[in-house]
Amino acid sequence: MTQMRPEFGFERLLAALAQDLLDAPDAEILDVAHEIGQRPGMKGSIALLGVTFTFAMRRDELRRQLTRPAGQVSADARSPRRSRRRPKGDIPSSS
Amino acid sequence: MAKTFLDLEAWPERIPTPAGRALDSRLVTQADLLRLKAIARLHARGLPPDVSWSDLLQEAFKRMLDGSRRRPAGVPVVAFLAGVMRSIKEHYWRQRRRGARQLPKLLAELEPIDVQEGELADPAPTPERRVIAIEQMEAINALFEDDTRARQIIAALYEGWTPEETCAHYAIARTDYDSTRTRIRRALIRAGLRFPQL
Repeated sequence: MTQMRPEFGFERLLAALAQDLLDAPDAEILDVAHEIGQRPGMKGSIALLGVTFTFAMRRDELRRQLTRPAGQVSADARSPRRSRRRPKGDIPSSS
Repeated sequence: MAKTFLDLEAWPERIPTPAGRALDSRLVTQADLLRLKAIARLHARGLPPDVSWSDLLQEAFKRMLDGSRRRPAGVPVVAFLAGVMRSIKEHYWRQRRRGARQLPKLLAELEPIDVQEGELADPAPTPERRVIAIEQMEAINALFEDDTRARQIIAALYEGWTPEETCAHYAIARTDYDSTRTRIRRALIRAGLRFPQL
């Protein structure tokens, strides 16, 4: 590479590559998306995360979670209560 | 030890973006958005990490939707938005340069005793931009680690050579040149759509 300022050369490269992306047929873009397991046509597809939508925490919810004492999990997040598995033939406790 | 974690089920609130609004209004298609995402990620390589590709993309859509940037007649919407992203990037660096020029003055006002002449580092942002350019050239070359031909063509694009000059310099047949450009393009689309968004 010549001794030009790297930022100039780099911007020139980016411009050329961006033009290549502009010239790419739609089919090629969708084909690559499918190749990496993305389904842009599906609602909420990861392919469009940060593009058509983002996620944000509601301010009140964020405050509630950050001020919650350590180790405390909200009722919704807790896994459903299940009775402990007992060995076969074990008599259920009456308590 | 007690663990704290955020309750992800209560967490997400879907926020529609300017690009999402443009899709809803049928100003762009999903394929357009994927293309623009790949272009935004490419341009964001020339920016510091605190400015994300998504910022660049959404700002371009916002300016188109609020009318602060008007699309000239006959210019396709995707090409127009790609141009807006590029100009936002240049605007960012101009502002950064202006901010850096103010820095010695601000520091002098804040700490008049400590600041000595000639002590401050060069405030021009060019070194930062240069470092980013060098790092990102390495990152782009790393995408084509096993593809010598692709790295040669990338070097030629960096130099601003025409396809003819590149073919002559590296003794490449034109068909080989074209197929390598296609390979580079596909790799960049892949890198532009990949998740996690690195």
